[in-house]
Amino acid sequence: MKTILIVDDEGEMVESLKRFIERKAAANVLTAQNPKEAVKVYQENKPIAAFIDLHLGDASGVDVLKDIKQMDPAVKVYLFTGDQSFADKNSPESLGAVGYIIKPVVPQQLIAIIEEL
Amino acid sequence: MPKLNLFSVGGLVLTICCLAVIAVNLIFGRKKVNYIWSLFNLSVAIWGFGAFMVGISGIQQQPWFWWKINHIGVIWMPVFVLHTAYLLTTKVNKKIVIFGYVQAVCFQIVELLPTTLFFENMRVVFSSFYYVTLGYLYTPFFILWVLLVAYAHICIFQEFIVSTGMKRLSLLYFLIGSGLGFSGGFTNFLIGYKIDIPPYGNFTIPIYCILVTYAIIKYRLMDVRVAISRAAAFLLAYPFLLGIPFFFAYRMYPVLFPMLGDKWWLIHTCLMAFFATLSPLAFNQLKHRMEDTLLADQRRYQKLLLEAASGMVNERNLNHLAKLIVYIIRKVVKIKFAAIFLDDAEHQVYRLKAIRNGGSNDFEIKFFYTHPLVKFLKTSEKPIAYEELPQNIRNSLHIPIKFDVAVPSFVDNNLLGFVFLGEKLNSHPYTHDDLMVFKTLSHQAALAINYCLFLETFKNAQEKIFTADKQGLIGGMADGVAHQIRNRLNQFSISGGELQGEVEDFIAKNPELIAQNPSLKQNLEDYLKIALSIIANVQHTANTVNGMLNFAQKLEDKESGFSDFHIGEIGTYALNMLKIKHQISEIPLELDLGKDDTVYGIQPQIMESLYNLIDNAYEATDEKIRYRLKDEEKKNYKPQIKLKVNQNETYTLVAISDNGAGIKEQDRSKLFAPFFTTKSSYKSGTGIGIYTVKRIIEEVHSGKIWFESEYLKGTTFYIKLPKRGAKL
Repeated sequence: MKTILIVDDEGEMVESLKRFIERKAAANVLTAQNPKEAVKVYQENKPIAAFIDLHLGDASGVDVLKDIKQMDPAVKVYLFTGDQSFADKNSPESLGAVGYIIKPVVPQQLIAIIEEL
Repeated sequence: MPKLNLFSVGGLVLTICCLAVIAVNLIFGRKKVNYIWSLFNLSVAIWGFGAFMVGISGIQQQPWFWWKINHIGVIWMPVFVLHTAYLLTTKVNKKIVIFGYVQAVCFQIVELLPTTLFFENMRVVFSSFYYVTLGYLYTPFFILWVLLVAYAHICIFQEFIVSTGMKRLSLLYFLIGSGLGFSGGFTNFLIGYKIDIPPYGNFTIPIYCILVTYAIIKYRLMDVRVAISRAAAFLLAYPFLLGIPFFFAYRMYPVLFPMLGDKWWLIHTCLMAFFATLSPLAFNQLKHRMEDTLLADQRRYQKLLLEAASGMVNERNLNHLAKLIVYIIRKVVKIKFAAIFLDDAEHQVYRLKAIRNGGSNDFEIKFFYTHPLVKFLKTSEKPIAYEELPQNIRNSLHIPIKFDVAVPSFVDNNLLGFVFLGEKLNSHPYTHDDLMVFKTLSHQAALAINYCLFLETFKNAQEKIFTADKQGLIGGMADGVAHQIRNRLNQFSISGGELQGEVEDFIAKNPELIAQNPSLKQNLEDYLKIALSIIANVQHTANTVNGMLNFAQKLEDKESGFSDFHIGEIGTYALNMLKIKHQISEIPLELDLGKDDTVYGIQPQIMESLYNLIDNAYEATDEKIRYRLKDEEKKNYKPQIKLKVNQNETYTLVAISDNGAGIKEQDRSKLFAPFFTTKSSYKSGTGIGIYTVKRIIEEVHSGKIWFESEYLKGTTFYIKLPKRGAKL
């Protein structure tokens, strides 16, 4: 079973996502709510992919992305964002990500992405 | 039969006068100085009454008792006058005041004892009453008396020299009054020393008491020149003119009586009637003549000020107005400086806005709302002289300018600002009249200032929207709120997905149960629909938010200067915004973009303009449905808004037409005016208004905007924009 990491500063959302994905996509979901926790969880579990929100309170999801990429350049990272225009202006590749997932997410699309990993 | 002579009449007048003064003092004054001054007057009254009794005793018997009584007054006079001076000035030594009281008590005891130390004997003076001859103690008493009185007046004079404004005037009254009173009263001592000058001087003492009372009680004093000229006019008009018939009767009796017999009195009665009628007229004439001459300068500037004040309301720029006000005041009133402080609500201060002092003025002064002076002006609501300010406020003023008068300006109980006036160049004090003029002036100025503030606030508000500021309403909201909204929507979406997953799983795992139970199947299918509906609605809402954000981002796109763009696209953004504003899914906008819908301009501003014009068009159709159509007409009415684009080589013409309520004939000329609205209040304020659209099109884009309208039929707005490099 594949393991993935979800990083978002909103606890309730992270828990919902975890429940939903574990039920629908047969994946093991790890969660983190801030950059420090994210790096720690990643180091300990080495998931195959990370889904990181661009806004983590005062911190930026892009920084978490870079930290994780440093540890494992092969990891697949997706960025959650609500900012369509940011997504338009910055290609995910330029940041080291596979792609954006625009909030609010469409549940079926999210499952599809995870199953293809 | 008591004899009325100069001494008794003088004493009686003095007594009555001083008792009246005491009453006035105690009624109008509540300060310590009022009580001490009342005691002084009481001592004068005691002396006066004693003198009156001495006077009417005649020469039958020696009035020892009344001489003892009247000297109680004499002993205490210098003490109380010194104490009053102590309270009015800072120059009097407290120890000397105490010494004054001690010596008075000592002399009082000796005076009341049956000795000849004070009074040796009595002699008849002016063949009409007994006057005392003096004992050994009297001369030292007299010397001390003179020294104490002199000391009090020297102190007052010293204070007078260094003081300004009202205080100065007040002390001047005191000095003039004292000069009159004490020199008059002094003549009594001369008789004691056997220099028999009739005590006419006693009549000056009441003048003294009245003048000083006036100086103590009345804060805002009449110019002393005015007071004296009025007294002179009074003396000339009444006693003089009315004295003529008496004099006439007295001198002409020997001539008239033989001629007219017992009807001789007719002549001077007629004269009496004549002069009695003439006197008030004469008094008024004299008074006006004198004051016009004396106060010519003051009258001139008061008139000028009021004229200038009425002109102020034409000034529209606040800085200019502030400068104008201080310039006029300083020039016209001829004062050392004038400064104006105006409300700066943003920083909660009154800030020095303009100062005119004939010298450097590169300093900044501000008073916080909580400053004692500001609080004081807010409650007193009238011009105030520096001396009238309570001590604690004077101590709180740490400013590089010293003002004589502060004049507050109010509109609707709001303190808009205040003006400080410096000392007059000729050192004359400010008078009550002055302050009244300033009050009127301040009211006019307040109106003018308020008008300027109003225009400025309005201008700022317009500019903000006009320049599509980054901190503007929509842009500011969009950034912060959109992120929050999207996160909430995300939560909905995931929860919807969860619900969907739960139901699907249940169906997959329990095929038999469902097959057996059709109603359960129906329920589960309903749950699925609900879950999908949640997810679909979330996406729809997200699109709305995106539309709003697009609009806002276009608006706040500061980088964008002039460019060529498609107006159809911009119109669609504006349309999406309007759907959100009016909470409807469809606005009946028909786009007729022709072959080419490119326009040249500043994209966010054109978008704002379109937004406003389409908004107005929509509201015109809405108004028509709500208020202008009868029920049966509503069925056949179909709201229509058209955006039509026409091009030629030099310009793009955009026409936005509606079949709404139209514009009434009387409203048409006002349509482009600021603040004009026909919308009900709950809707007004949502757009930037036709006024700003006009400015955007004409001032920024060098274009033209106009409209055609027919009441109840509809309106068409035309915007004509020059193409790149072209001119209209």
